[in-house]
Amino acid sequence: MTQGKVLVADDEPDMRFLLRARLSREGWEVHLASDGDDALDVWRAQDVAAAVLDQQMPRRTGIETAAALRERGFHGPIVLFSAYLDAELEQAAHDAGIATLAKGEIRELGTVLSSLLSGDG
Amino acid sequence: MTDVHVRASSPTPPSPDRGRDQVDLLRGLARAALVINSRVTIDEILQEINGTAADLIQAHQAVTTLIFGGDWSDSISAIHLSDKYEGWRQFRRGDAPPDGSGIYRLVCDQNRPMRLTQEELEAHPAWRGFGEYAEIHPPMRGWLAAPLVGRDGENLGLIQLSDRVDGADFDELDESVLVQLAQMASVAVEKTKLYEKTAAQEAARFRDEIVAGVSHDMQTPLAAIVGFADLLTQDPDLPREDRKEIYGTLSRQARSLRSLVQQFLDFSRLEADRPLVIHPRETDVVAVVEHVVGLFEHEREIVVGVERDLPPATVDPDRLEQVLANLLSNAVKFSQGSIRMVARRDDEQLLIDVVDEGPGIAESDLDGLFDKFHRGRDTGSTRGSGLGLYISRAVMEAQGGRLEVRSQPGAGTRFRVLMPVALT
Repeated sequence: MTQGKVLVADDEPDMRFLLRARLSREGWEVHLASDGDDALDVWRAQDVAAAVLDQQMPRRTGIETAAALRERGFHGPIVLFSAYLDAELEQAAHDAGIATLAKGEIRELGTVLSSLLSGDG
Repeated sequence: MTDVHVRASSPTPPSPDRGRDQVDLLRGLARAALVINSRVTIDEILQEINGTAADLIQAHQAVTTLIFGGDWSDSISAIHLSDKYEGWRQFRRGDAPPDGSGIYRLVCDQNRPMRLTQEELEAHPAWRGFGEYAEIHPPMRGWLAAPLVGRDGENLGLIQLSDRVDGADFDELDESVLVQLAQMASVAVEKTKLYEKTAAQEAARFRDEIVAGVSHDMQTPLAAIVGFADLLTQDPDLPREDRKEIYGTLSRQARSLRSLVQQFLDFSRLEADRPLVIHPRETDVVAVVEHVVGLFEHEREIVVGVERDLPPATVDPDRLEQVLANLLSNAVKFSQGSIRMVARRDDEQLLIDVVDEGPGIAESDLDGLFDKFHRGRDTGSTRGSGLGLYISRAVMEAQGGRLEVRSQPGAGTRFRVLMPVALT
C-alpha cells in the first residue's frame, strides 16, 4: 500500500525524523530535505507527488520554497507546516494555492495529503 | 483618592498701580508656560499651576483640583495658603473633599470661569457655605474660578482663588490671566496622560510579544514530544533502533522545552531586577562539557580539547550546562563546519572556548550581541527569542564569571566562558 512519494523539508533533524516516521508508517515514500534549496534538489531528483514544507527555515522560508517549486513546474499539492499560523501567513498561503497545517496537528498530515492528492482538498 | 499639597508663602506686596503690571503678568505667564511644560508628573503640574496662579494674580488662597473621569470622589488638589491663613494650614482637602455639590460645580459643568465678590457669592443660589466643614475651611473673601478643559471639551477640574492680597475684588484682568493658566494646565495634564497611556501600551505590547515568542518557540518541542509519544504507543512493532532513536529525541526535545521555560523564568527575574537562582559549587567542568557535547552529537561533530589536570571550578553545574548549550546551539544554527570546545586554566580562572568556522560577526554587530532580543542575521526563521546570550552573560556574571566573544567576518567566532577556579 503505497500512497506515493512525498518531499518533506524541515531544518530541524528531530522534525524530519518524526515526519518520516509518521508518514512512512502511513505508507508514504518519504524523501527528506533540510532546507529550501535542498528541497528543490530533492524534487528534481525524485519527482515527488506532494510536498510538506516547514515555514521557519533559514535562507528560504517554506512559502518562498513553495513559490520556487511552482515556478519550476511542480504542480502537486503543497502543505505548509508551521508552529505559528497567523492571519497574514494563512492569507499568503491561500493566495498561493497552498494548504497549511499547524505543527500541533501533525497527526492529520497523512489524511490531508491523501485528500489533496485525490482531489478532495 | 484625594491628595493634598499645601504650600506656604508670603506673597510680595502688591504694587499700587496694577496697570503697569500687565507686562509683568505676560512675562509671568510666559515663564509659567515654560516651567509647566517641563513638569512631567501630574502632581508637579498641579503644584506649579497653583503656585503661579497665587503669585501672578496675588491671592492669599488658591486651590487647583483635578478630577478623574468626571468622578468627584476621585480627585487631587494642590492648595496654597499664604501666611495670613497660617492657622488653617492644617486644612486638608481630604477633610472636606469636593463632592460635586458646591458652587464650583457650576464652573465645571459649564466650562466657564466665574468671578464673584463675597456678597455675590453668599447670595448665589448655588452657594452652600461650608456646612459641616465650617470649622476647618478657611474663610473666603471673594471668589475667582476657571475650569480646566480637555481637548475634547470635557471638564478636567478647576482653579479657584480667594482673597486678593491688595484687598480689592478680583477683576477682568485677573480672570483672563487665570483662564490662560487653566488652559496651560489642561494642555500639560493631557500631555502627561498621553505619555502615561503610551507607556502603558508599550509595556503591554512588550509583554504580549514575550508571551507570543515563548509559546511560539515551544510549539516544535511540544509537537515533537506528542508526535513521538504517539508513534511509540501506536506502533508496538517499531524496530529497536528506531525506538532507541525516538527515546533520545524525546529526551532532547523535553530538555529543549525545559530550557525555554528556564529562559522565560530567568528573563522575568532579570526584568524585575531580582537575582537569578544560582548555586555555585565545586564542579568538575569536564563532566559538564562532555554531557553538553553529548546533547548535540546528533546534529554536528564537536571536537573537545581539555587541558591535562584541569582543576574544578566554582560554578553552578546546571547553569554552566545552560550557558554551554546556548553557545553550542548558536554555533550549530549559525555555522557550518566543525565546532571546537576547549577547556583550560589561566591563572585563577578556568576558560571554556566554543569556536566555530562560521561566517563570523562584524565589529558593528558585536556590540549589541548580548542585548535583549538580539537575533542573528539571515536565519530566515523567527525561531529563538534573542534572549540566549543576554541571559547567558547575566548567568555567568552572577557567579563571578564572564562571557566574552571574539570574531571576525570570514574567520569564525570564539565565545569564551570564564569562571573562578575552585579554591581548595
